[in-house]
Amino acid sequence: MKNLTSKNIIFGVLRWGIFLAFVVVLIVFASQNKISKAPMKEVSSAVSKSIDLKKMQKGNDSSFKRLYGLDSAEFESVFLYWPKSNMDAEELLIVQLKEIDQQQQVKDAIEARLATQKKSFDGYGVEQYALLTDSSVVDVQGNYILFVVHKDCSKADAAFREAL
Amino acid sequence: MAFNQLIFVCLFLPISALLYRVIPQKAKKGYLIFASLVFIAWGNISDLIYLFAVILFNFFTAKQMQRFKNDGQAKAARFVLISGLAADIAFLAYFKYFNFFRSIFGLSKASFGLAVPIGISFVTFSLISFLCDVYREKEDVPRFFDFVLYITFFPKITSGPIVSYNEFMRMLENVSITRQNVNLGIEQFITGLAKKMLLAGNLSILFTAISTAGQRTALEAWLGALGYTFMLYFDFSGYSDMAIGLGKLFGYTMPQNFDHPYTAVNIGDFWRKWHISLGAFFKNYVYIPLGGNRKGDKRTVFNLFVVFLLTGIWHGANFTFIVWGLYHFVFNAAERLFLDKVMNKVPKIVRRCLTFFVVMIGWVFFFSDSLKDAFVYLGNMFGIGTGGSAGGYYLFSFIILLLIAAFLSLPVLRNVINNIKRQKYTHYFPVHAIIMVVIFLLCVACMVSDTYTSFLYAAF
Repeated sequence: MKNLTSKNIIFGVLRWGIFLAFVVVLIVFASQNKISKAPMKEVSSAVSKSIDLKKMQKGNDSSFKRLYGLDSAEFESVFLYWPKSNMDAEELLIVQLKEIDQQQQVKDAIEARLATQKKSFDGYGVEQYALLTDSSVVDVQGNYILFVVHKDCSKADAAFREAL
Repeated sequence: MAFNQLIFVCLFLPISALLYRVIPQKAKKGYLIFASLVFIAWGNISDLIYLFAVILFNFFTAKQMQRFKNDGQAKAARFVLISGLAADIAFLAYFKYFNFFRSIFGLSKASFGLAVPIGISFVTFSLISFLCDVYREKEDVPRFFDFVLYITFFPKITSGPIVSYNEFMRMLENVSITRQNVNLGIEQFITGLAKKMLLAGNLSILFTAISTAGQRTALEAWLGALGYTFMLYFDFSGYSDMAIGLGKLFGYTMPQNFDHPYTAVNIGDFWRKWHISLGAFFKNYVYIPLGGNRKGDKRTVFNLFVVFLLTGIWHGANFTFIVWGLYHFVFNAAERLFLDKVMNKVPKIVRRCLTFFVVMIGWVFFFSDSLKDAFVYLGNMFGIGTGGSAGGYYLFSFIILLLIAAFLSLPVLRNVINNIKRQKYTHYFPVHAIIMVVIFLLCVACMVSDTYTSFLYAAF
């Protein structure tokens, strides 16, 4: 090949190497972030069967707005169970997103809710604080997000993943 | 992080600007890159993955291209350029248009893996400008960190102004942090913030109420369109003012992006006054390379068609933007072929009003979610399919705001202020400073009390 100097080859290898590496990153991230076609009814049913909901009550649009500051109309579907008593910390939230870009917005709202709850129980509700710290899960799977505070949170998370 | 968020105005900006002043000259460029990366990562840290990938890819592409050119291998250099441009456009297409094409074929939206990177449309144009300018030998391949700064410079990364690589290199050579520049920068930043918070923010209340209503009267439809026309102008020109003001604060003078576009006498003139940096990009990197107006009327019209089709597509993955772009093409082409000859006999004030009317009708396609919605809205404006009865309420509630917006979209106030400044009335400057502080405080009050609204062009 005419005048193909070693530097030319190096630059070519570098740029296509970077291109391929970025494409691989996109493929890996995309495969971990698949959009599920499972209906909310099936997902919520599977998760709620996996844990005891006795200490929780079913939420609605206004409780979702009050606790998370989000408007349920912005999402495909919302499933919420929140503490019956303000002395309890168990909570279950499943959000089905309309757009994948909404992930960050919901994650931020969940983190804010978790921080508020921790602040409420810090210093006097030792068990509740421990539950919030050690037995809470936020799991983002494509267009579904799970937030659960429960001693069996890992069971709920496993059921959630299984249902998607 | 956006320019109209408290955390930016009250924390990021003062800290980054003050540190920039005190650090040694040699470290300023590196510091500015660091500040820009913090700004980008604050919004979404995964944006850095995309940016590092495209920065490294394009830097090595330019290096390889330059070496081929130096070795006299023009064909190889051209191949490297085309493959580089294709890769940049492929990334843009993947993030911005992939789901649009899937929806055309009835497929559901796909996950991208990474969130759509910040300012991807603007970053891609910067990369195209970089590769083309190096290929045309307008500029050498820069030092790596100069290139990183060109791409990541936080005042322009989100929504421009689109600065060509060539222009940015001139800016880098002439960075000057004078007291006058800093004052002008602060003034322009506050002016932009006021446009966004005080004007666009309130106009959005009118537009949102009308556009989301199930039914609307013809009067409501016209008020909504008028509200959007001014809202978009104050939103985007406000953003541009803030970006240019920030640039000045750090010693970089970026070109103006708006020049009172609603005073344009025809659509061609409108595009010389609206989003000037986008027009300049398409002119320099598409229209002129295609032959511009040097190859006869037919070719000129074809070149205009390409430019306006791309302008529409660039704005978003929706048929509404394509129709909006082609709508402007039709008027531009007609003006070049025959319309200007006819209209030049008409008084300027009538031409300005007609141009404003044409532009406002075009915005209906721009703001609608679908072509069907656009035609329903246009029908409402002309009395078809109307309903509701709140027209009078909106008129009385918003007429003063609309009149203020109309007045401020004219260059009258700017000319008065410039005249005063030119005549150096010494007693004017403290008054001016007090006015700017009051406006700034009003904007902060809005930021504290209102729900955050992003800039409209951040979505493009």
